[in-house]
Amino acid sequence: MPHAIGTALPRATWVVAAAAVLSLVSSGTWGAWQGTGARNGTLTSAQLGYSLTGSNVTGGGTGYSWGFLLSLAGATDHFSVTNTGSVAETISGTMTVTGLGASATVYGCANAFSGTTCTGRVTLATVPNGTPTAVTLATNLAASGTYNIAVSVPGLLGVTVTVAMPANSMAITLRSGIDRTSG
Amino acid sequence: MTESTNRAPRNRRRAAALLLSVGAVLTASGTWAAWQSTGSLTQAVDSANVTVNVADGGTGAATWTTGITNLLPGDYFYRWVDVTNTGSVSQTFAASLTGSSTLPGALTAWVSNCSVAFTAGSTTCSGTSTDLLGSSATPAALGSLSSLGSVSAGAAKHLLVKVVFSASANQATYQNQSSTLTFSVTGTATGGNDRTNG
Repeated sequence: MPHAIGTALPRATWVVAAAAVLSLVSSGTWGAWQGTGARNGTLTSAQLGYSLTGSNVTGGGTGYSWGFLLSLAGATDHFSVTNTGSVAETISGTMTVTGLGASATVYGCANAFSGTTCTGRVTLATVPNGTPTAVTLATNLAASGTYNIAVSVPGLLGVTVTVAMPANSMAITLRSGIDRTSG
Repeated sequence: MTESTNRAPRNRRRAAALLLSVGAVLTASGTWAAWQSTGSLTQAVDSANVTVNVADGGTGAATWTTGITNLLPGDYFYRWVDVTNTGSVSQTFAASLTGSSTLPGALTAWVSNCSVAFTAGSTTCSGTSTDLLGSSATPAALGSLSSLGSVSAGAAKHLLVKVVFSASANQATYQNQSSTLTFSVTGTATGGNDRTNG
């Protein structure tokens, strides 16, 4: 708009401008105006655990110890191992057989045993007398999964035998680190 | 002749008296002098808008809302972040990567800036990559990143985040722990400039 000669400056307008400047000055930081944003993601670490179930488990389900008087017919015991963790686990331990001349064969099966018979049975280990032997009870057992174990000792007359897998020999093996980008 | 000679002065006096009367009337009215002219200038003054948008980068890739469960030692994952200056002025961006609770004690990270946008799901920067936290070979503890620098209005930074769960994380401490990982950005616009010219 043309500015007529001899008239006053548009005082009101400049007052507005001055007020805006003053508001900036009053902050003392010369426009420390900020915008913020964020992205959040949730993480949860895995939980590990196992449990043994059977008539000869020890330590609240953490170990195994079976002592008996062996006959010529031999003997078989059963127990199961359960993955109580949140990820697949490989569960193993060290088994020892004591008793003159006695040895043991350890079988595994996803189905139920009848004696040493089971559909899908696999031989996990043969444990010689007096030699601690590593036995992998379950390989890559899914979380909450259960696997059945049978321990068989051939017959010997009048021999007291102990088959043991102490809790402090048990171990859980996990997969190595992988790319979890997709979840 | 004599009579006309005597009448002339008298007529002039009458005319003068009439003019004085009219002038007096005009002067007595105050509204006749209130003629005015006006003018003005206007000045538009707008304050700046200072905002930032932090979004998942690499369309189609895993997003920050994709939760990760059952982390095991040695596990790692990538996330992509586009930080866009949605304001009206340049901003200097500062960012940090933090986590809640216990788990961050076993987490390290590598954060890098790529000069161009990432291809969906790709961890390869096809432009120039600049480390902002740790390095690819040696991720660093979670915390503040190096400054992302000044970003013009409408421009964006393309960041890649790699988080690593320590291969030696102690089971007793870090088993079955949950945490919220937060990537936060603050954009700052500084005033105090001479804006005389706009």
